[in-house]
Amino acid sequence: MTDREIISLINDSLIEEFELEESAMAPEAEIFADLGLDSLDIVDMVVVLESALKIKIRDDAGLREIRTLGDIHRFVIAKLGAPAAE
Amino acid sequence: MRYDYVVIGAGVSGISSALLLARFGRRVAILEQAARPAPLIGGFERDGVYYDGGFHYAGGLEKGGVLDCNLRLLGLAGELSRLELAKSGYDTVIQPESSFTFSFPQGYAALQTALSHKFPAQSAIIADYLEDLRAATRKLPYYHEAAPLSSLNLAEIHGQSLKQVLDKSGFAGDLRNLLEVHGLLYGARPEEIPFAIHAGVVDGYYRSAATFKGGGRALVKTLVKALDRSGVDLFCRHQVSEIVLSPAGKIAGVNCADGRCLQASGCIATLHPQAMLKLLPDTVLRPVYRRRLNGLAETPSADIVFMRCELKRGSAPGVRGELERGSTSGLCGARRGRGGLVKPAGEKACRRHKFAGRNFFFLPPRGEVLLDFKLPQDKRLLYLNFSAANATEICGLTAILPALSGVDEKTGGSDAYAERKAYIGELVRQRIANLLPEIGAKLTVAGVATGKTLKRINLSPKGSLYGVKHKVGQFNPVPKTRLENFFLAGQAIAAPGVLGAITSALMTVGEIVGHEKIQALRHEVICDDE
Repeated sequence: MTDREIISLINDSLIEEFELEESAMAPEAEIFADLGLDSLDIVDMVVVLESALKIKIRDDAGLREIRTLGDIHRFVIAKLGAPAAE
Repeated sequence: MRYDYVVIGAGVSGISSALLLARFGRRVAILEQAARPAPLIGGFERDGVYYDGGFHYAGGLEKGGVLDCNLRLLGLAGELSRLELAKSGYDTVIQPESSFTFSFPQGYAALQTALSHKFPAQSAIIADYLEDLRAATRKLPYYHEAAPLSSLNLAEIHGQSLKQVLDKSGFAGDLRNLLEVHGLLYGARPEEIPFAIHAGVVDGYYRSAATFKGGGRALVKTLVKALDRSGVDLFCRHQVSEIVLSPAGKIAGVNCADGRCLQASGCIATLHPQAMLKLLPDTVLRPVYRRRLNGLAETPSADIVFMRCELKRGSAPGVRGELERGSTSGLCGARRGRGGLVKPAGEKACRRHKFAGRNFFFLPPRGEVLLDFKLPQDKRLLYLNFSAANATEICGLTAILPALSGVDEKTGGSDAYAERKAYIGELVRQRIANLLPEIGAKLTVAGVATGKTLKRINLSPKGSLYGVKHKVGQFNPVPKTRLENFFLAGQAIAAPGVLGAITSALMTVGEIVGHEKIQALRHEVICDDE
């Protein structure tokens, strides 16, 4: 999967699951302020990303640093690029 | 009457939540669908004999233990009598085919000694493992005082499973079975259960295993008395049919199935997460959240056989004498009769049957998966609870035969169902009679509960023992929801059992009044004791 495909898969999943507007999905969009998610949505976001991309997100600290949609893209791309744990 | 909070469900988590909220000045009502509070752990009486339903024994009830502290935090100090189970063997594990037997003695030190004695080659890994177990509990919120209170802890959710921990140390065979057998207390297999949750459940038992004088019924009575003192209103036979929202989308109260309604500005739902979803309009919680909750895995179901056991006074040896010798091999029948030589340790002990204060786990044949509930019923793991039987002549025993959840949905009409119940009752009675011949002739089946019964009492959609499972990689709900002043509590949030239920109440009320206040109160309670 290219980075572009990954980004589009992430955006599509979030649009569908969180009922977001496609036009709002700019990389600089802040997930809380602009996309209207709240801290409680983070768990569901993790579940959505895990199932869409078949990954396991164990990185608590990395997740907490996420502010924008672009951060999510980078976080997931890094995760997919890193050698699988175990 | 307008309440600050209405709590849905008068189980242990609901009552505990209400008691804590009242302690922080909130006006609280609890609505319970059943005719009485906590119908599961309250057990039942039949022909003058009491049977424990959902409560069998507990860990951490010793002075300063985790459950002891939490019960005192609820304001129940000094109201319950603790009965310690058999000192040298509260849980006896028997593998009938191989005659393998092991009894779990009270306390970590004794357990480590007993395990090392039985498995000398493994004594080093046993010591390390027990230390790892204790260390894991120090990270659990509201278990250990210093544990962090973060509600989102991915490391734990995706952390190591019990299986991974046991594999790493190379545990195998009978020893491994002993370390896995308590999985029955939370209903998940070793590869599923996060090691931290496993540790949080078994640590208390490994420290000390006890029951309450009067069993689960006594606990419920004490909790209800405390509700009364705290000014909490308890309404039984009130089945909540919907949570009512104001035009602004805030909690306004609840409606009951019979048309009654109750005004409240907040709500704690303690029922099964999937049953909770049905009480709110679809638009309130996000579809993705609803889907997550609807997709949560369930714990297994079980057939539970209640047996009346007629023991003659003085026919059995004193419990202390028998236990002091540390012998359990007689339980399989090999040393029957020798117990009579043991001098009873006083009148009370003399009247107690030698099995009193002991539970039994009968394992499947070697080579079978310990917690495989697809095994034939005569080979499957079977648990017998003798812990409450400090009685003299007649006592009520509970045997649990775990089963796959959802099985009863296929059973036909009422005749077929009654037939199935009678069959299971007799099968379990015979299995126990064969395994423990000393009491075999004294057992009669008094009642059988199935997945269908559990479905009715627990309101778990598939008749599961503990509702939602705790599983590596599965995100169980947290207390807080997107709906303002709407919270969840119950075993799905923290862990199963009385301890899990109270812990969930602490987590949930902590979200409402502030965790630091609950922590301070807990600290005060612990310090009071010292």
